[in-house]
Order: sequence, then structure tokens, then C-alpha cells
Amino acid sequence: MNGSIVRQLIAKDLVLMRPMMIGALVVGGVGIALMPFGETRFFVGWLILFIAITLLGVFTTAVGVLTERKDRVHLFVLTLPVSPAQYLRAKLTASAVAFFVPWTILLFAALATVAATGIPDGVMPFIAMLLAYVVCYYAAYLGMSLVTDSAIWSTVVIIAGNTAPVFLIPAFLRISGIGSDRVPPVAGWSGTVLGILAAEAVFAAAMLGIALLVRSRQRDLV
Amino acid sequence: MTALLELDRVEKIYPYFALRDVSLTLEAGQIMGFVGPNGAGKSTTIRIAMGLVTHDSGSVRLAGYPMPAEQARAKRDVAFVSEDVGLHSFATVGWHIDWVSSLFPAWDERYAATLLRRFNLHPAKRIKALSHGERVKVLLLLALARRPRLLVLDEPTSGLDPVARHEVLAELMTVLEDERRGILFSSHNTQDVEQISDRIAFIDRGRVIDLSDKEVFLDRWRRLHVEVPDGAAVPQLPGVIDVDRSGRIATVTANGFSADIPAAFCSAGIVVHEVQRMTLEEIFVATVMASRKEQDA
Repeated sequence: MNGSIVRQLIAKDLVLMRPMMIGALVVGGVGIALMPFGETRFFVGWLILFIAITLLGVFTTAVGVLTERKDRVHLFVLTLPVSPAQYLRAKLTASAVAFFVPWTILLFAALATVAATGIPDGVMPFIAMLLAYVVCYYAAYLGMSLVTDSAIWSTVVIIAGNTAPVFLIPAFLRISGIGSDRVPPVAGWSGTVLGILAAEAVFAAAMLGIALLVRSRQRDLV
Repeated sequence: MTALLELDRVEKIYPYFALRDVSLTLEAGQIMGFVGPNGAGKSTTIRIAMGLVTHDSGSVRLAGYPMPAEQARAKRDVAFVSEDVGLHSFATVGWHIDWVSSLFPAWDERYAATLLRRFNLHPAKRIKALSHGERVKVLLLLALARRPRLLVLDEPTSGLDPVARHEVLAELMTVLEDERRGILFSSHNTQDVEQISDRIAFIDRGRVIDLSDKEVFLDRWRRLHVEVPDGAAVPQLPGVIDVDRSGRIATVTANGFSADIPAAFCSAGIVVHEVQRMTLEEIFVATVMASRKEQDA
């Protein structure tokens, strides 16, 4: 019964997050569709894609974790036949599915669009690093939300998450070899690019790992 | 028979509040009223019982399972209703019914439909559009239609209008038609508790200060209105816990009343005008005040 209840909790969260997943896929898809039609539309397109995925991470966390706690729905769920660990597992799994399914689809759709159209393949590392950054932002926000409902921490993560691209985008463009007058025709998956992608993956995993560790030590759920 | 709920010397220490040495047992077929002033420790005790808060020492068994270790199994047979508990505000009543019913094989669909009608709830209505009373009724419906063996209610009638309170209490009474079930009912409203409980625990400042059958409480406590002649004193008798004197007139409160008390007063020359039974509220207040006096002494 417990395994079944965990599955039901995941299904329940996915039903509630479905509009956000569909919204991100539609908006992100529109962004990707714009990308092949000239330089300006390419930048507008990936900006739309970037914003759509970022908002997906923020909204799925807000609805799945923060609002559930603010409305004290988590107390109702925890009176059902689940342990706090099972509840946390269900919550993490549902949030991860709600975020990573659209993220993966949009990432591969974007890369496939670049590969299949006249857009120089050199933008691929840039798109990958930027979308991997969104995973970091999402993991930090989800991890923070699982551990605390502090408005201060929430604000800190959001400000940091929204500010970081100001510095990261020029850096990722430079690392990808993209300049104002040239874009490499071939994707340069250099050691630096792969290192950044690995560092982003480690950061995201660490954020969620720390959150799980802290949460598993919390004795009181109210 | 296994007790539905057993708390044995449970303690929980917070920086500004401590729950100490709380022991309670609730058997099947009982409705236990758990009464205390605001901040007495009712909700903390209930949250510990439900595994929402982990106790520092002592032991808790819910539906026969140790808590919080086996809470997932224990909570199959236990439902919890509290005004603290929320539902998804943008989802409808019907969505919640469908969801919760899918989790419990023993869900009683006919009973849920009956409760929907009885509580005048509309499945298509969103939770955010419901009044406080309607939300409590939805929570109660979601709890009752599971047919749990133990129903734990934390201040369920708080903030309800008299009609809604009556409807909720009436529904709770029907639960006990099945003697395998039990209810733990916390409230600071002694009228509600007096109406439905057969066993009562008083809690104050984190300690259970008295626990007994309701009828025993009502039989044990009396208020005597007496006239004390000039120069005479009210004798210190076992069971007399308070004497409120104003000139020749005195009001004596007795816990453990027997015919010996008025007889002793008469022997001391005191005229007993009236011996009154006390309401549960009066008993509760007298118990709390006596306990605080003892603690502060």
C-alpha cells in the first residue's frame, strides 16, 4: 500500500504541475521555433526558451513545495499512510519529473533545431551550459524550499539565480568561442565546456543532497 | 484488545514550552475529550501522536504501532482533522474526494455521498471558495469516509457557527455506533466535549492534570453554598479544594464530594443552603486553578 501511496502522491503532484509543464513546453517550443530565422530571432528565441525553463523550475517548486507548505496541505498529506521520508521521496520525484521531462525535451529540441537548420553548431555548447545553469538554479531553489520556508532565503536564492546569468552569459559566449562577428561552425565541446557542465551537475546534485540531509534530520514537521 | 492510542510518559521540550510526563490511553468504543486552555499542549500532544512531531522521551503507540517509526502503517487506520490542516486551494472538493478515495481501498463511497449532502457541500466548488466551516466539513468527510478505526480531531469545532458545530458533532456521534472505533477530540470548548465525550483528560502547562470518565468527573465535583456564622471557620476537609468567602456567605468547591462534607459542615455549625452539580466547564476551570495553585506554591 505504501509504495502505491507514494506513486499516488507523485501522480497527484504531476496533475497539479501539468499546466506548468505544458506551458513551459509550449512557450519554450515557440522560442525554439524562432531560432532558425536570423540572428535577432535566434537570440529572442533562446531568451524565451531560457525564461520558460527558468520559470518552470520556479513555478513547479512554488506550487509543489512552497504553496503546499503555506496552505498547510503537507500536514494533510502527512496524516495519510506515508512516512516523512516517503513524502519527501514522492515530492522530490514529482518535482524532478515535472522539471526534467520538459527540460530534456526542450534541450534536445533546441540542439536538434540547431543541428537541422542553418544555425552554426557552435551555439550548442552555449545552449547546453546555459540550460545546465537553469538546473543549478532549480536545484538550489528546490533544495532551499524543501528545508525552510524562510522568505529571506527564498529571496536570496531568487536574486542570486536571476543575477548570475548577467555574468554567466558573456562567460559562456566567450568559452563557446562566440563573438560579435563570428560563431564557430562546429560545436566545440572543449575540456572547459565539459568541465563547466560537470561542475553544474555536481552543484545541482550537492544542493539537493544537502537539502535531503538537512531535511532528514528535522524531527518536527510542523 | 489493543488500545487505539497509548502515550506513556511522553516528553517534548521546546525553548519556551515543555510537554511533560503525558500518559493517555484510548480504547476502542471511546470518545476522549482532550481539554486544555490555549497553549496547554493539546496540539503538541496530538501532533506527537500523529507522528508530525517527534517526542524526546516516552513512548507512543498509534493503532498498535510504535510512533514515529511505524507511522506509515499506523496511519492506515487513523484519520486526523484539524483546523491547522489545509487542502489544495485551487482544486475542487470533488478532486480531493477522488484523490483520497483512490488511496484507501476501504473508502465508503455511499457514506461520502451522504456526507456531501448532509454537509451541503458541492463537489465542483474550489477549496479557496469555501468558508472555514465548509473546509472543516470537507476534512471531516475525507476522514470519515475512510472508515478509520481512530479519528483524531484537533479543535475541529473551533470557529464554526452553532449550526455547523451541531452538524459536525452529530456526525461524530454516529462514528461510535461501531464499537471498534474511537475518537480523540481536543478542544477548549467544554460544551462540545461534555456533549460527546465519555472520557476526559484535562491538560494545562504541558501536563495532564486529571483524567477520568466524564460521569466520574460530574459525580465527583460539587459546589456548596453555605452560610458561616460569625466567628466560625470553614473546616479544612479532604476534597475541599477552594473556599470563596464573602462575609457570612461562602462558596465551597469540592473534588471527591461525599455526604460527609455537608455533614461535617453541619457539625461545625455551618448552614448548607445548596449543593450544586458543576458543569464540565466549571470543573475544568476549578481543576486548572487548583493545579496552578499547587504548582506555584
